[in-house]
Amino acid sequence: MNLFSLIKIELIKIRRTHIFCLMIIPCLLLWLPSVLNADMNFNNPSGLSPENSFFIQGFMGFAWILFPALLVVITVMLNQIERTNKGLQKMLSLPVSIPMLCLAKFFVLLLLAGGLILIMLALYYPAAALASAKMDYDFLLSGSLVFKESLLIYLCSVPMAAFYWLIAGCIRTPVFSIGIGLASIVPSVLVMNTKVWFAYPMCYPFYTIAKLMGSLADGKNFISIDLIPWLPVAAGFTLICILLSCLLFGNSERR
Amino acid sequence: MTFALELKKTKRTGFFPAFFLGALAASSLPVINTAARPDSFIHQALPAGDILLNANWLMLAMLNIFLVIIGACILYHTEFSNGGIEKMHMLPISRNQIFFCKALLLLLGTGTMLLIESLFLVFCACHWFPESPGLLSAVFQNTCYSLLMMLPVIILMLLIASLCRNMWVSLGVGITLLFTAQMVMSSDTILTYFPFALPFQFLSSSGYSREKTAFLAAALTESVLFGVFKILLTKFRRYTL
Repeated sequence: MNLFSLIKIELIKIRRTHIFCLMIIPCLLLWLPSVLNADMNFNNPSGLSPENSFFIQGFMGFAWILFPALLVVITVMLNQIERTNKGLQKMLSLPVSIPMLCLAKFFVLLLLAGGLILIMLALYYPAAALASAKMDYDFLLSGSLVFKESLLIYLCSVPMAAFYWLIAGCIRTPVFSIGIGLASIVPSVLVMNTKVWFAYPMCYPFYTIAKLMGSLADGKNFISIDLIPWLPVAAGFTLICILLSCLLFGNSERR
Repeated sequence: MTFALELKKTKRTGFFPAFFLGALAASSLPVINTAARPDSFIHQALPAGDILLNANWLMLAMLNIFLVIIGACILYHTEFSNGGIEKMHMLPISRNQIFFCKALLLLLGTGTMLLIESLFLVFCACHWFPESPGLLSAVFQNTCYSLLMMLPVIILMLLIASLCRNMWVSLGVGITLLFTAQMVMSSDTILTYFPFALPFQFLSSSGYSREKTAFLAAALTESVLFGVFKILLTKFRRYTL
């Protein structure tokens, strides 16, 4: 079986897991107060224009807690559908390569993360239009900024997703795998303000949006981040995590 | 009897170690935060406890709620994972009793966690703020207060976990609720009494004001409400999601 058909099978497996409800409802809840409190954007202390402030406020909450936490939920789901009723043991007896299976599941995780960003984008435009109608002010931003930032958040989340997938795969006790995942979200506020932020993948999405806020407040169009220590560290981290998770996936079932 | 059984069931889930380790991780935050930039904290003209709580309580409360969410999910996951709950339903054991014993377990875990965090806060205060009168009683009062504020979260989260067969559903619902709490807690409407927003409150050294007492009353009312709701649900509802 090649990777493509494995991914197709994985997509069938998640059909009845309610995961889409779990992804859509929080995003709806996120934009609801932004629309209701749209007038708050007019007195932004950092000097952002109202439409930028509306966009940044929404995406900041998303990138800080919601996105990483939902990624953890997705990893839990991908693992539990295999572990309940001993699904992984049955997979081990079939002619399926386990590293391939692990990779397929990781791609599904990335797909769902992309879906999450798309949901966010799909809800941003109606929310901005509603807020514009309510306040009689144009809150809609140009597409290029919104799409570029969303793409950046998505790309930045790949190392984080790889890390969560590694934890979920190799720590069998669910308390610890979920616990480490969720607990790693909280310190990102602290790490983001230090010089070694690039060594902590969980803060990348939040870092980019905070950076964007700073540069928009200064009147620039988009952010400029030093790629040199960041890109190699992130790429190395992702590769190591994926390799380790492929090696360790299903180890406790194999014994 | 039921409580002893429940305690036994948690043995191999890592429930108490998770709370212990989580508490240690959470308590390291104020220590690191203060050690990294002591200058920005030492010169504030506030009691030591207030400075530390102002700077760190938001993160600590968030970690605490995360742990309660995970704890609740795990306590019911052990029942659901291999059809254990069906077997329990056949035995002469009250479902409500199971629920409230689990709540007690979760309360114990949370209490331990809050106690450890308070100890570390006291350590921080003693280390960086040598002269701080009335520190111990302030921190102790805050611990008891936070435990009571955690009560609605504990009961609501267990209620959700007992309704969802799949762990990720209850986990996702819990995270959604926590995220909602993050957004509503700074509003000045009735939404500040949202159950998941309550643990973000803390007692400053000025003690109980009217506002804090109102939060306490809200926490207790909500806990009783969710408890009664669970009792009603076990009467009328047979199946889970």
